[in-house]
Amino acid sequence: MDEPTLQNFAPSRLRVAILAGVLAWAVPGLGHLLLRRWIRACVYFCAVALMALTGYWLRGQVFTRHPVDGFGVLGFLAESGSGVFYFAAHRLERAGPDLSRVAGDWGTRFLATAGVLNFLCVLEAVEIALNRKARPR
Amino acid sequence: MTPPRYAHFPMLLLYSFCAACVIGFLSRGSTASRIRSSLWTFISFVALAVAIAWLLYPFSH
Repeated sequence: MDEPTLQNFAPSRLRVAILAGVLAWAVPGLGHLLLRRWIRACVYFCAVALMALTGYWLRGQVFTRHPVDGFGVLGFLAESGSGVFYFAAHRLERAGPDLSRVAGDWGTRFLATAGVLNFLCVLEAVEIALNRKARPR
Repeated sequence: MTPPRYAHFPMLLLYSFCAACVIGFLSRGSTASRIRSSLWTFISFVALAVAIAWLLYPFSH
């Protein structure tokens, strides 16, 4: 069977998919909430929030929009996936990163993983909105 | 707030738990099957990490 292309979807469905994707990125789980997937929304928000907040607590490194090397680019791309938790970094990590201890290194991994996991949730929200995924909530 | 005194293993458990929740729930199927999937992912994460840690142990000395 042929894979459906974007042209095959109704404009209204595409709009919902884009909105769900943007909301899911901005606030983890919000896209799923829009699509009435309550359990998933709750699980994704709690998991991503717990990871991001633990990362800030451990004083992991927050990569800025102006990275100095390739690793910084990857770090920024990964961490920016957590949406509101990334943009609130300066409030959540007031003391700044501390990579002199291994806790900071763990924190950086937590922050990056939170973003990457939320990107996966964004893709799922778009997929659900386009009705390409099974219905169970 | 000062980061806590901590050990690697609790960090591994927390990391695995959060990652497993999301990865498990991204799978298809009923809620029960997704919870099972999360559980298996969590166990796999921890077991593999401990196994790799033991395999690399001789190189740390």
